[in-house]
Amino acid sequence: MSKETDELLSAMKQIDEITEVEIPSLNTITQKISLHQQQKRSSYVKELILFICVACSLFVGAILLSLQTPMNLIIIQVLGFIAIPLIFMRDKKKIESEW
Amino acid sequence: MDSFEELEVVKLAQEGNHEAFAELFQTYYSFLYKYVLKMTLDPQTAEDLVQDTMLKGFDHIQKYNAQSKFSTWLITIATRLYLDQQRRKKREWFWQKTETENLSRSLKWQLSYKGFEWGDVMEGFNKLKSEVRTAILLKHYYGYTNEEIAKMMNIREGTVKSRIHNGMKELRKELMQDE
Repeated sequence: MSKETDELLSAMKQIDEITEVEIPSLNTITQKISLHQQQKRSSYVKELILFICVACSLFVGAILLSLQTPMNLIIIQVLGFIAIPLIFMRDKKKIESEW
Repeated sequence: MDSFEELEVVKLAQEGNHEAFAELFQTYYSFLYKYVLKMTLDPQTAEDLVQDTMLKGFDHIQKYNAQSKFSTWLITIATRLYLDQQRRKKREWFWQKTETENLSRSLKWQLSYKGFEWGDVMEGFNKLKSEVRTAILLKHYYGYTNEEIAKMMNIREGTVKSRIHNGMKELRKELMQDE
């Protein structure tokens, strides 16, 4: 083994010996895992809602176009899609407290 | 925890038992933290990376097939997470500039407080690129073969060999300059 490898290894060994590791309790680890799962679940639900909204808007848009619906109805539809998330965001706290 | 007992706990963790995974992770926490600290040379990054490794390990525990040690599986996750992070950070030009200066400063201070002398070899090691540093650490300190390191870092065996060879050459050059 070369001189620099020896020096490096002994420095690393020393770092290992000196380092004091604070091992978290089982309870802390379990709590972190549960929190992570909750976050994953809520982001999954958000993505699912977004996917359904996009799919619905595309579907409705296609139907409206195929039925040659008057322009003002399409505009109302578009405004509705823009307004829904804004209304939802405004009432989010109220909805959460009710749940 | 012996290997038979460990397998039982792994099985429980794979069935979704949080406590079993927590027990496994707690057993290897110290080993993992020390590895990550030597790889990152920064206590704060090491702590964050250990936590990310825990969460990724929990998400992918089903994929662990017990062909390698559980500790090896954990450090594989940590290594890949770290190298991904570094790749992302390298795209930010300002990070590249300050990386080597800032990373080890906190560790250097902490270790010197406990009587550790941060020699030229550590200075040289700190100047190496993260992927080179990791390969050298896995090969020379942890004793993994080039094939195992290649699997862990998700690169070809030849690349591992050249990274270690060039890294040691750079380290030697650095030491000779200081002498």
